[in-house]
Amino acid sequence: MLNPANFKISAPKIKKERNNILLDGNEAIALGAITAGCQYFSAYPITPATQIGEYLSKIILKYMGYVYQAEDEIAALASAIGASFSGVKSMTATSGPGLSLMQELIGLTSMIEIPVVIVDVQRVGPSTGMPTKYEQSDLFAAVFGGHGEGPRIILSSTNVQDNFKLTIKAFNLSEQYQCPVILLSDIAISNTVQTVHIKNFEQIELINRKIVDNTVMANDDIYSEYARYQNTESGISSLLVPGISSIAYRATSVEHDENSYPDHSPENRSLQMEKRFKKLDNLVKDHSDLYEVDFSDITDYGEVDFAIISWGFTASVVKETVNKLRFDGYKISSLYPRLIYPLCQEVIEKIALQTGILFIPETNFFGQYSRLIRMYTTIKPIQINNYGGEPFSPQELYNEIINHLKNVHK
Amino acid sequence: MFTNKLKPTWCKGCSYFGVRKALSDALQEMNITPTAVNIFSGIGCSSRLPLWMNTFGLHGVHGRAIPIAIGSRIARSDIPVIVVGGDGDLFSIGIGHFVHAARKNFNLTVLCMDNRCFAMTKNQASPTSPKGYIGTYTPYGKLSEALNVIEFAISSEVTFVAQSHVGNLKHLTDIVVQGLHHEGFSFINIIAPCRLHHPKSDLFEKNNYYDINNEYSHDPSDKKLAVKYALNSIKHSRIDEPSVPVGIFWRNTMKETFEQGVAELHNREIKKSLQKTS
Repeated sequence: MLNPANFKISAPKIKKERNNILLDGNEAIALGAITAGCQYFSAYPITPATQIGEYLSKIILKYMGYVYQAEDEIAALASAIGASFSGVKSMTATSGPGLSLMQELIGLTSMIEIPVVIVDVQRVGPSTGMPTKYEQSDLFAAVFGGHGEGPRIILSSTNVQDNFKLTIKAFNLSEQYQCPVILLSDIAISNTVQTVHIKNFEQIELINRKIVDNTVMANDDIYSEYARYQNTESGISSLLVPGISSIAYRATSVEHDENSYPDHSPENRSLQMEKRFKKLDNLVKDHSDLYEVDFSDITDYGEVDFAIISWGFTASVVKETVNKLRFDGYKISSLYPRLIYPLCQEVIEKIALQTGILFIPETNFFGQYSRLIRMYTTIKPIQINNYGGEPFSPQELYNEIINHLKNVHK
Repeated sequence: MFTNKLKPTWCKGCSYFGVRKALSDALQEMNITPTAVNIFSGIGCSSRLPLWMNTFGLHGVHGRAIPIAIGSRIARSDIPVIVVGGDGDLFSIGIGHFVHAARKNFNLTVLCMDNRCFAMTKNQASPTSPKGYIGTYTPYGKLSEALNVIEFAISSEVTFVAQSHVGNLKHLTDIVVQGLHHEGFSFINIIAPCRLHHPKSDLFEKNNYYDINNEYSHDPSDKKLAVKYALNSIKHSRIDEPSVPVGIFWRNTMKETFEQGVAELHNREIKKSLQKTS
């Protein structure tokens, strides 16, 4: 039996004086999961996410956890949901094809408000695509993939350090907001070995789900109820866990009232829809550590030559490119969001107000993050897309940006 | 004690009321605490059952109750788990998950509420519908034979295979108790005909069932004979044909459960760390 809730960090032995370790992208996710208190991991092997389960399976037993190799991705996520429902922090990891299979169940966790972390290590799609090549094209699938409308949080790593940090963050957010959190990584980060700096390992903040335990007694009446989905001000309502809470509930995938009883009336439906979504209202405001902003010092319109926003592995390339361009004398504002959805709208609008030129380079066909920005704002980013299956090189991006600037000024 | 105050939306006189009563009575007999048991289900008339109990439960998505249950069993092996579903949920969309959970011998009790059709979507053929079945997608008769779930379960290495019906609640309750007792994967197929779609079915006739244990002294440790009786189970798969075998076909108490394997791995880790410190 695994240890539900209240996990104490006693993660891999890292000598006190050493707070830098060398990890690849997948190892970093595995280490992040253990640090966050993940006790149940289930996955189906898929390139390039397979190693996450490999690393975890070697160490998770020490923490009285378990890695379950499921028969397919649907069973992997389903079993993570069952484990989480029963009180244990759970995760699955896959790539694009697996994410497609998991969409229905991601919708389920949105609906029944159960925490779960889903890692998607992106590769070239669609369909089987190119399993060993690089792309960042699962944003649409992560944000909009399921039928209907349910809250999800989408995070995205730019490097190996992010993979470690954001896996912990993913668990914290899913526990706090009781919704699925998808962490987008990619094959380029998986295949990169980098130094991960961990300062104050024991002081990493962990958030655990709010549970109604057995101090809240059931009535003598055998029909005791607890409003598991009560419409609180924040929208977050405490969980009940089998064997820990004194009152039971049956989570249901159909629309339900505050007591988790099926209710399809328009009034209840509207209320519950609003309840589920308002949970995320303060997310962007409360977690400003999730977008890395690099404003130039100048804040007046026109003083900045252009702005650039980048996510995923491409952000690492963009940083090098921006350095080169700054060396050439350009004034640049840049934003590297780790929170993809909900959109950090205010920050993006602030950057766009500084200049009329906003570049968003993406290694995908649609310019998915650019499209997301167009959905929520009136900003019209300039897309620089590459979909050949390989990352931009800094030189390539540099040339593209210089060309664009020349054309703009004509 | 195990049912809640909600009025089930099942039709008046639905067979499933009997299943709910039998499960409730069985849980009572096993002295299980309502807040320490999980009942997982998929989608369909059968799968609505957990909504009208007062235990913990998850009424999830179609066909995925079993993998959800697996996660619960590994994470909290202290919480007994029951899976309820229909013949469609468990043997159409969910059949793959059934096989894997069965051969790994997870300690679960799976109740199939078998009405031999898709009732909720208004009468399509299901895997357990007989050949020739008239459903809305098969108006000229289902082309394929019925799936013999008993034989299928035995081949899937299920370690407790039984069948009962809602016409004999005493028998049904007893079988459910034995299934709950069994440490390993218990599968109980419950013939529960649909009053709405098949009001004249012979499966409502109590005389059309024969008890293989009590009437024919079948010993559930005899696998060969179990399969023989199982094959009989499909010969009479037409809705209006009599003689369905009920009872415990096959029981294997010697196989380790998956959870025992997990516990063993954890115990080894504990021993290792104790050795290090000593």
